Amino acid sequence: MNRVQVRIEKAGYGDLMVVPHLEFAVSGGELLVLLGPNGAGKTTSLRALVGTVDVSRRTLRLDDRDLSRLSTWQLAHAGVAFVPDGARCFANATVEENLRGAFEALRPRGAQGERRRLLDTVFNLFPILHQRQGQLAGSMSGGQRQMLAIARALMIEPKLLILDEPSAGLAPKLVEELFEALGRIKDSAGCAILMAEQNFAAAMGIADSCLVLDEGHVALAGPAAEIRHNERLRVAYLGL
Amino acid sequence: MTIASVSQAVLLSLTIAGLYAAVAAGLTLTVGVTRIINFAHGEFVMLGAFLTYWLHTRYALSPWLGMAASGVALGLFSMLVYRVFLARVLKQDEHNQLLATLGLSILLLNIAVILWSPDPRVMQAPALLPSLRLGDVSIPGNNFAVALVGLTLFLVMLWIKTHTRYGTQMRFASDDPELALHAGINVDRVFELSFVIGGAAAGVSGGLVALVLYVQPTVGVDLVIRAFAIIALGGLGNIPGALVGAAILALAEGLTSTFVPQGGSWGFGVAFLLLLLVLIVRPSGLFGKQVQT
Ligand SMILES: Nc1ncnc2c1ncn2[C@@H]1O[C@H](COP(=O)(O)OP(=O)(O)OP(=O)(O)O)[C@@H](O)[C@H]1O
Ligand SMILES: [Mg+2]
Repeated sequence: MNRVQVRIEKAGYGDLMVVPHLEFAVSGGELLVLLGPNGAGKTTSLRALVGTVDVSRRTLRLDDRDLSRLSTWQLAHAGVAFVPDGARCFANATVEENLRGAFEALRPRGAQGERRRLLDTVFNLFPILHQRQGQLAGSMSGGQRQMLAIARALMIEPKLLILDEPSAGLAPKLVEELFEALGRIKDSAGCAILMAEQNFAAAMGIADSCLVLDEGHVALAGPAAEIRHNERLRVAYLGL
Repeated sequence: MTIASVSQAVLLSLTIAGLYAAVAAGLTLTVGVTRIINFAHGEFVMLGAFLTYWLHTRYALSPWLGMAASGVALGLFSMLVYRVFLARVLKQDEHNQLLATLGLSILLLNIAVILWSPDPRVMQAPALLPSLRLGDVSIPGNNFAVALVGLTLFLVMLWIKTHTRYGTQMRFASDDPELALHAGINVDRVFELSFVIGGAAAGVSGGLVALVLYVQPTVGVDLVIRAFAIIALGGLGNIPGALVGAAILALAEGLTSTFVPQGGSWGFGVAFLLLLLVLIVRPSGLFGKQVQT
């Protein structure tokens, strides 16, 4: 099923409280997009969820498992993959090492067949990674690194995939490709996807539901189909 | 200056390079992964030297076994140091880390002086290997053993880092610790592991020290400074670079002390001179990446 339920109370940095309260749910095969202007608290919310930003309370349920008490690295073992902003990869390792290392961090020795299968899946989604297997990740372009970052997350076969502004800094053509790939991941892998985005148009093309943050507060939430045509949203929060 | 005397000096220097490489390989693994500048690495080596020495003089244990025992003992000791001490300091800023390991280094050194006096000791061990003869040149068996073990230790470090899944995790954790967490790597454990492996290597290196140098509390001080010079030469975290750095340093020292009048007292100065030169000319090391991002 991969039904994910999240609740965050008081996320912030030291004395600065950025997101007072946030609550949402997303199911397997669905994509929830988190929209909002710069500084709205999207990154803060995602990081609070994966445990790299302080929160006073975090609830995270995956189906009937309670993951609230897991630390950042344990969450990955529970099937929660996080792709931070900035297309981060292990720069001094090759593309192949990035992918293999991500798989091996979670799997027992000797799961060769499974590794092969997952590699095939991500190479299928991002053929460029197949051609660049031996290249150092740090020497690839921003777009290629973003693909690698996502592919790395997929190597753990996540139940919940969380992405922070995957389209940032990419050419429109690449954004289109990337989002098309995300759409395929959602449909075929059955994982739930939570994504922070600024690129309203592209994000709404694949989103199922939508949550708009403004200064840390939820300004609007609902199915993407409704939000897409909401004039108030466009004008007030997205300046479109 | 004959060909034989030059080759003798070169070969002897290369065996000492084995010792330097062993000390530096452990240090560069630890520093490269955890970014802890561990000044106490030299004292770990010193403790390994004393352990090998005592095991031999008190219990007639072969230095081969002494080395292995020192490796295990110092590995365990490093684990203790990491858990009760460094794990906490790691969360603080870099200056505190420097002071902490420097403090630990001085503390261990003083404890050793109190327990064993500052006097240099010589381990009266039978040669571990037959001496190596090449024409007119001969290498004492223990020097040969030092070169062999040093090189092996060094290759083991390299193999761990490049060919094991822990090695991959170490490289990930040093590249980007936060991203490593997101990839499901228990970064704390990986740091601890690399510190323990570095400590074990220091222990074995201590056994080598007992074979060819005086065993005394200050022995680690010279060695750790040399190791830092070697790491600067080779580039931080660059294990093959450390091997070349060790050879360069040992050769420079050996040749100076053999062929420069009163060169013996120059040995250590040469290390500093090389270190300074590298820092000025090529701060990222001879083999380090030029651009750090
Ligand atoms: N490390 C930090 N320390 C202190 N304050 C921070 C930190 N990171 C972010 N903030 C503050 O938190 C608020 C929310 O920032 P956040 O990064 O969550 O916004 P965002 O919605 O992700 O914006 P963007 O679209 O620009 O990425 C901002 O006011 C920012 O200044
Ligand atoms: Mg952000």
